[in-house]
Amino acid sequence: MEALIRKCIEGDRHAQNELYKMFSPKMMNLCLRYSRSREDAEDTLVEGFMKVYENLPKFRNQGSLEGWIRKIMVNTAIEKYRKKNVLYPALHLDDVPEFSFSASDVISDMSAKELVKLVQELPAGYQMVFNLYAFEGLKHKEIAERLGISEGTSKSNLFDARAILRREVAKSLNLAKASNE
Amino acid sequence: MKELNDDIDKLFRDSIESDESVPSVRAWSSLEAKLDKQLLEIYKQKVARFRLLSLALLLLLIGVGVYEFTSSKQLSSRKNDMLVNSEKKEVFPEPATATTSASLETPKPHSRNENNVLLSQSIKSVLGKQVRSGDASSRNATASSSLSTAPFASKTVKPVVHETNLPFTSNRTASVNTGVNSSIQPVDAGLTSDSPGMNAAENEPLSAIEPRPVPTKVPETKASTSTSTSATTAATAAATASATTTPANSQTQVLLSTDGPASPDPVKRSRFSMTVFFSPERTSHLLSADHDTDVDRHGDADDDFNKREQPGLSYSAGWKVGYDLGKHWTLFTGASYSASSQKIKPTIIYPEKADKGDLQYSLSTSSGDAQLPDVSGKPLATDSLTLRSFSTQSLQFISVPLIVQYTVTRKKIGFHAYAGFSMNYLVGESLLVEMPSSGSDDHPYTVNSLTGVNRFHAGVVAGVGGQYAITNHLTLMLDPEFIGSITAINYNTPVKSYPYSLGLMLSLGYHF
Repeated sequence: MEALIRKCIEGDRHAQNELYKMFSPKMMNLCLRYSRSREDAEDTLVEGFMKVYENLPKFRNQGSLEGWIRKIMVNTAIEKYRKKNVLYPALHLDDVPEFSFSASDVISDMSAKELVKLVQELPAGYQMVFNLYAFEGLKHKEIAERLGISEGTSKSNLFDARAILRREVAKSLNLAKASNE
Repeated sequence: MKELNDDIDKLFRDSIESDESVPSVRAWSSLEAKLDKQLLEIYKQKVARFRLLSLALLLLLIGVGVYEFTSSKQLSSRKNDMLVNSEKKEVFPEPATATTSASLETPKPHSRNENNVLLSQSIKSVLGKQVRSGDASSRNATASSSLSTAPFASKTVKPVVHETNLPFTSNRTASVNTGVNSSIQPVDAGLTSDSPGMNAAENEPLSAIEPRPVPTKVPETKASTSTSTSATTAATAAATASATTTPANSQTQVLLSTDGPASPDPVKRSRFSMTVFFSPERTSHLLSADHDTDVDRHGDADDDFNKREQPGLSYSAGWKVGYDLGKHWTLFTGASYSASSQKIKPTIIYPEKADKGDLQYSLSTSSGDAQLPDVSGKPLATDSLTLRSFSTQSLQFISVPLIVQYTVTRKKIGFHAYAGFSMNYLVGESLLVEMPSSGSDDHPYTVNSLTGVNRFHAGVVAGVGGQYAITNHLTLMLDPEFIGSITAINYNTPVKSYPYSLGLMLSLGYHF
C-alpha cells in the first residue's frame, strides 16, 4: 500500500487508477447517501478523489487509508452542501403516523439501494444531519458546527428525517406485502 | 421512542454501510481530465518559475554589469591617484610631513609658495624638452629643472599633460596652465632679490642636475616657443622662485610630475564566459509523408496536416557557457528550454481501435496521435465527434547545443556568426482539446501523451548578429537565429515532422 501511495504522490496515473478502483465503490456508496442523484454523487466522488491525490503527501500511514479517504469524502459532501446553501423546506410532519416494523422485515424485503434512495429523497438538510448522525457518529454540537446551523435545528432535522424514513420504509414494506399477497 | 430511533439509525447503517456501488466510467474520465488539468497548471507554474528565474538571472547580470561599469571608472580614478603617489615617492624619496594639500577638483587661491611651485613645474616641463633636443639654453633650463626637484610645499598635482604657457613679463608674472586645473590664475611670482634661499639655489652644482622626462603629450611647439622666447628669463625666474620656496623647514610639499598618466593595466579576462538568452520564435513543421506507414488512413497526410495546423507562439530561454578558443573563436555549450505550440483547426474525427482493441476517439497531429478521453462513454464504430474549436498542441524540449562562434570586434561594437548542433529531449507534450461531454457544451480536456513522438531528436543551430560591450566583461547581443531539426521528432506516424523555428535571440554575456 505504501508503494502505491508513493507512486500516486509521484503522479503515476496507473497507480492513481489502482487507488481509485480500490476505494471508489465504497466511497461511491457514501457519496450516494449525501447526494440527490447518481450524477451528483459522481461529481462529489471526483472532487473528493482530487483532494485525496492532492493531500496524499500529508497522509502519514498512521491509521486506515480508507478512514482517511472517507473523511475527505464526507468533508467534500459537506462543502458542496454548504456551497449550494440549501434552504430547509418546511415540512408538516404532524400528521405523519407512527409506523412499526421489524428490522428483519426491512433487511429481507428492501435492498440497500432502495434504502439509499430513501435517504437521497430526504430534504437536503435532513439528509445531511441524518447521515452525519447515523453514519458518521457525530454529535449534534459537531453537526451544528459543520453545517453552520444551531444545535436545535440539528436535533429537529434528525427527528423529522427519522419520521420520514420510518414512514417511507413502512410504505415500501406495505407495498411489498400487498404485492406478495 | 429512543429505541425506535436507534433502531431506524441502526437499520439504515447496517443495511447501507457495507454496500458498494461502482461509479460509471465517466467518473474516472472526468477525474483523469481534472488530474491532467492540474498537471498542466503545475507545469505552467514551473514555466513561470523558470521565467522568473531567467529574469532574475538577467537582472543579476545587468546589476553586475552596472557595478563593473561604475567600479571600473572608480578603479581608473584610483589608479591615477596611485600613480601620482608613486611619482611622489620617486621625486621625493623622503617627503616632508605634509600639512596642507590642494585638490584639483576644488582649486583654492594659490599662496605665494604654491604659485612658485607651479611656475617651477611649468619651467621643468618646458626645459626638459630642451635638454632632450640639445638646445643651447638647456644648461640654464636644467638648472631650473633641478631646482624644481627640491623639496617643495605639498600640493597634489595629478600627473596629467601640462600645457605650458609662460609668457614671462617684465614684471615677472607667470601664467601656468596645468591642463587639468584650468582655474589656476595668473600669479605673481613675487621674486625679490631678498627672497630667502636665493643664494642656496644659485650654489646648486650643475653637474648634479639631470633632466626630467617631459610628458610625451606636451605640445612640442608650445613648449619650445615658450622656451625660445624667454628661456633665460624663465630659468632665472624659476631658479629664483624655487629658491624662494625652499625653506629648510617647509611644512608643505608639492608633488611635481611631468609624466603623463600611465596607461591602465590591460584587463585580465578568463577564457570563460556565461550567457543567458531569451528568444521569441515562430515554429513551423516541415512535413514529409512517411510511406512506410499506413498513409491512406489520412490520404495525402502531409498536405492535410499543413492545411490543418498553424504555427503558434513559441519561445526558448537558457544559458550558455563559452570558452575562447582564440582571439575570434569561441565554443559554446549549455542548456535551453523551448516551448512550441501549434493550433489545430476544428475537425470531425471518427473512432479508431485503440491498443486494447476498444474503439476510441483519437486526434492525429503531425507530431503524433492523442487519444481523447471517453467523456460520453465508449463510442460506436458509426459515431463521430465534432471538434468545434481550435485545439492546441504543445511540445517542450530541453536542448543541449554545441556551437562554434566567430566574433569580430571593433571597440565596443562587434559582429558574430555561429553554427552548431543540438541534442533535444522532449520533456513534455500535450494537446488541449475542447469537446462535448455529457451535455451539449464543450469542455476543455488536456491529453498529456502523444503516441509516436520521439523523446530525442537532433538539430542544427545557426545565427548571425551584433553585440555591444557594455563594459569590459558584459556584452549585449542580438541575433536572428535559425533552429532546425535534422531528425524527425516522431516515428511510425503518417508524416515525419521536422520542426524548425526562426527567432530573435536577445542575450547578455558575462566574460569572466
